[in-house]
Amino acid sequence: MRAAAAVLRRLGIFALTAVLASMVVFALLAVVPGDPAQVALGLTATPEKLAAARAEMGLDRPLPVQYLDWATGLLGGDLGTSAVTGRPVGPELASRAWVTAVLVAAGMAVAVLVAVPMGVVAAVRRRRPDGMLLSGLSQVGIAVPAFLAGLLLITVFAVRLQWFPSGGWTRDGDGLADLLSYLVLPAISLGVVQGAVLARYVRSAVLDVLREDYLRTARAKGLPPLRALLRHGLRNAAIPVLTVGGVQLGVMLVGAVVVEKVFVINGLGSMLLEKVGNRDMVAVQGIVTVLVLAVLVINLVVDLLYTVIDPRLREAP
Amino acid sequence: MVRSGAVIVGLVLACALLSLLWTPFDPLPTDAAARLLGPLTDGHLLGTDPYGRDVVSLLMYGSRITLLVGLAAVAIALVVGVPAGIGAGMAGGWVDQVVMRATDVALAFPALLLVIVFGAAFGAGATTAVLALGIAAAPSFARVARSGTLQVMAREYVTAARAANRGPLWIARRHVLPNIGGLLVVQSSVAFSIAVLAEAALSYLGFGTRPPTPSWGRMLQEGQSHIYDHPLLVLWPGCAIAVTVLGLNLLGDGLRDRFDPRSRAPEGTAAL
Repeated sequence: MRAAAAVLRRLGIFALTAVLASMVVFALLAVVPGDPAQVALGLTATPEKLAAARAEMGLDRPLPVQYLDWATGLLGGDLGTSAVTGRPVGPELASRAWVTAVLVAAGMAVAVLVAVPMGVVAAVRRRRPDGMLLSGLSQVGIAVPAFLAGLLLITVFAVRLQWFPSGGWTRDGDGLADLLSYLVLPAISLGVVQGAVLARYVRSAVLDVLREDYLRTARAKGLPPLRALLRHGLRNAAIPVLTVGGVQLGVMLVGAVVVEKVFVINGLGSMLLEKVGNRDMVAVQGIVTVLVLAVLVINLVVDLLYTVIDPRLREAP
Repeated sequence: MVRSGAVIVGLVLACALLSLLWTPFDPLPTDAAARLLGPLTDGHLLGTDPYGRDVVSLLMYGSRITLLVGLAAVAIALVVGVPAGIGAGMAGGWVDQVVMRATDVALAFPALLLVIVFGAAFGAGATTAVLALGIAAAPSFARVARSGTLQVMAREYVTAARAANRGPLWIARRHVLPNIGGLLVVQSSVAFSIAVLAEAALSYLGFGTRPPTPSWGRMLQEGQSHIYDHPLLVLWPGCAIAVTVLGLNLLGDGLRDRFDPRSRAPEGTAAL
């Protein structure tokens, strides 16, 4: 019962935070200097036409009413109509979000592939040179931001070796191989750095587990160290790592904004920069809200998974 | 770790201070005749950029911007976050609830996103970037300060002070602040390196310091268009960023071991 109450409380906090955050986004971008009606009609519009346009866009209503209208639309998946292009924001956002989702998923896969072996080896062989080298490498990796990693990868693998394109994304009719060739460098630049961060958590989680009695028992039974760790330890080591991994998924979502710019990828991030550039505030509102909600949902899922994986937390008040 | 971190950060600081007095060349004026010179030509140790400016001078000037932005962002975060966190921890009840829910909302906005939104709303530039970075970092300070305060408030000397009719401000100044100071130093070093990373990314995107003020992030952006013919132009500012952040992280980890021996997980700085 306590578990159910905890889950309900968590859901309540999620809903409250989501509503408040959407209010903040709306308020921040509603006070922006620059009148959407003016943007739509241009500088030559007469005051009468402007007033008519404002009435048609609903801009003459009080802000709370405008917010409610926008928020109810949001719940039904309608992100409003851009004053700049005159088209609804939703469909373009959805198609761009797909690109970013693919990129972030690939980045996360790279991060896990880097972090787990690196962290486990660094922990198990912490007193040997190779384990210490791995710890040092992850320290250096953390200091390199994703977009810088991207620029360096382009220099080496696109410019010098010409193994991969220096940027761009698949067009219609391209196969999986094309997608992969476009995906490799951005995914590595997004994932390697986060992998280095994650590796440190994997290392310290594994170190904690290695000190546990049950692992000593497993070793005493005659299991070799790595087997014992894999059989008994990984589940327990996974709990703290999962939390960090969730946080990192959110970090990558935003990191993708910069990486998309580096590799000229038409994802959500480049859409955001584009729309900020031509002052399309309805679109900016939509993108920022989607990104913030994504971060909140990721945190929620991590917290809920946490209670599922760790039975001790279910007992906790 | 503290030592190597402090040495690196000290070197960057020395570069920044030196740039106030002297740089090999004037970093601001452009010189079409001297553009894209290779390293070690005409007295330019690392060559010149696409506008004919000396790379070493630009890097030195950029270190000043980087440290200023980081420092200002941390200062804002301290001023906003710490009183909120101590207040929440000492008052408890609904004050605590309000502050904690506010940090929930603020944490939903990653630093980079907040700066872009602020840039869209109030115009991009160093001031907006610093403000947004500071606000983005404030909730973590509030949370650290709150949890530290809760521990201090459970101590007997606080109960004694209360029994002696000391007011909350006196207790906050005399007992709480000195005891959570170590935690705040550690958090500051983490926030500093996040701010440095974010500033680099933002200048790269055009949301940070504005031209012609040199910054490492924009050196990367300008270097990218010459990545085929002059890849070193990307390498130098890239190294500057990575080395600075490495130094700050080493310093932060060392400080953490010193001030907060119970912490198990090494906090990486997951800024970008």
